[in-house]
Amino acid sequence: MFDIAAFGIALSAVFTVENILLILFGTLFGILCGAMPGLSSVMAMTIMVPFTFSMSGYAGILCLLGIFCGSIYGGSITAILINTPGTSNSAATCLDGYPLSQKGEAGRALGISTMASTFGGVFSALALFVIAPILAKFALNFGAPEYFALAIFGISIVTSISSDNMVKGIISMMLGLAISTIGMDVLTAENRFTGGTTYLLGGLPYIVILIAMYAFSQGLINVLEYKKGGVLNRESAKLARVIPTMEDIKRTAPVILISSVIGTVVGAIPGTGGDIACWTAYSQMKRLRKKDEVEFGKGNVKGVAAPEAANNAISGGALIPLLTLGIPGDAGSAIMLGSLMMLGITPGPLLFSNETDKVYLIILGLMVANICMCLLGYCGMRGFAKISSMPLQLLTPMVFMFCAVGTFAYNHNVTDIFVMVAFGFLGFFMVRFKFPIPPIILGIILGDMIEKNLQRSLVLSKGSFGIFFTRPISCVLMVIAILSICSPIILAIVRSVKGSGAKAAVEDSGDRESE
Amino acid sequence: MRRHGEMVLAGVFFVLGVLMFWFTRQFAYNGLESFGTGFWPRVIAAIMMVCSALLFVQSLLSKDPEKDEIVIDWKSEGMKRVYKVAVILVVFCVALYFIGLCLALLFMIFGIMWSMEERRIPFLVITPVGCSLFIYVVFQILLKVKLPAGILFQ
Repeated sequence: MFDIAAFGIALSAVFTVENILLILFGTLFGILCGAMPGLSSVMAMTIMVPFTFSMSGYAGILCLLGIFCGSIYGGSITAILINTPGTSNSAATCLDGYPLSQKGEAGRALGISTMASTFGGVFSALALFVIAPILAKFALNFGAPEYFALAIFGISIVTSISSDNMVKGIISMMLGLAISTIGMDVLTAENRFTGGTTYLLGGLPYIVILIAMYAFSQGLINVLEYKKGGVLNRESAKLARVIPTMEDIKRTAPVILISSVIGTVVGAIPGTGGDIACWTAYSQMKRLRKKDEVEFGKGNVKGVAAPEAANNAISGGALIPLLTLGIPGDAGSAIMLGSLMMLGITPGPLLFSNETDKVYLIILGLMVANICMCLLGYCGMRGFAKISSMPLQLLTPMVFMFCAVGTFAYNHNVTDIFVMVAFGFLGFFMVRFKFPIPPIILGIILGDMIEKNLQRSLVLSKGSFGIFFTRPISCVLMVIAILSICSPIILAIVRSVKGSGAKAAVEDSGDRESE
Repeated sequence: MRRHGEMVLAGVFFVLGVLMFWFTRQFAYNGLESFGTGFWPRVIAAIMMVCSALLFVQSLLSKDPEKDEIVIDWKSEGMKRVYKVAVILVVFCVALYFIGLCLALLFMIFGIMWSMEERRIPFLVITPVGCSLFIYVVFQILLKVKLPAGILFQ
């Protein structure tokens, strides 16, 4: 299964001076964005993705991998220093990181966070290396019904997880699917919703909508929530020792290993992400705490190591379904999908048999990015700690600037900027009204795949929907998808039945007492 | 007291579904075996209409609307800043056509900083000029991306 020739090609492609420098740059950019509350890892990637298209060879992908890893790690810096997670992935790190910082052990916490993040990232890259080819081989047996079921499974899981209100989640999903129908139909060459314009013939570019919905709308939220003199961090923490001691390494090693496994598994499930991974790992480690240890939430180093290892481990985990099945599990991997497609790499099971060198390139790139993250983390920690003191009135216009320039650089079309601004405002209102954004993006990406495979499946079955339930894989995926969409409704009914039962019991006992 | 914002948005999405359905009336549908271009958009439009109606009803029948209500204070200072930024961005889009990206960026960055109450002259001068120069050097010179020059300078 291991192709040594392809591995050699990938190795020589990654280890060039230009590519290593670009991974370093990407990681640095990611850490800086991750360290700034208000800028997320997805935002960092969306801003940079159009720039990576102008890079030669596979440098763009390697740079994006650096941003992906760096931005997840960067969030922990402000989480530890000022109790404000730079990204939602580091929310759990605040719980023990900030108390350590208050005790004057900020350097120790940051050092452990860097170590755990690096291990989590490298571990997940190794998992990707081992698991992905097996899954890809299995996926070679997939036909149109399985791909349709898989796409429905992915999008429904994302919808059910990303929203408290399922109806809003489905509306978001439908909006994404509706956008995906714009343009020329690939099967019949008929134009849909183009309004006679040539601009819409190829459909709306999802990278532009991604920039609008994540970065531009966040810029507007910064404007809305800005308070005069609003600086994120006025304190510049003094960091003493940042390299972990042997004692800390021994104490946190098992925690980091278990959390890395949790992070990789959670990352591989569509719709999840670093935030779910970090809370899962944190709560599991809290349960396993020894009695003689510092309590979790009061400055336990394991409380820093667990979420940081888990959230960085999602980087490799999220790439497993993307590379093997072509299904992006979250917005970050959706961006990676767009970049891969632009470079002529089509993720899916055939990628592993036809273009093994490219798979190895991505895996090696991910490992190198994590090592760069470690080096930059330990060398530049003091500098990154100061980034959070950047005034919002300087940061926000830069976000808009990068949105505009990045959008233009994607397609060299000024109309894209107008579309981005329009969708940015739509995204702003949708975020304010708590409509989830990930289903929109996945709807746009998977819409075409769903429609094509639905049509092919119905041709095979002569118009019968039974084909999705008579084949085992598609049946399992469809059942999970239906359950994930229907479960909130079922749970609500169960709760109301239980509630009415309890109410009746209370009323009954009240009546007896009065008698 | 109902969740008015959500109800309005539900109405918007319902209208979107209706419009989508209306525009697909010309598209072909040849039965499930070969369903043509019309089937899939109609399915999406129908689900969108049903979900919008559900959201409307959900908001209308909310047991504790005040608790769940998402309030946007349209007259708040923050929203006024958003309106200003919206105007700046519209002007930026128009300016793009005439004076090109780099000069339009100068105006946009200055405008947003001003609307976010930045009044320090050195910052108001250095940031827009520095950012525009950065974009010009990185894109036009290093990455060889031809930035829009605007019709006045073409």
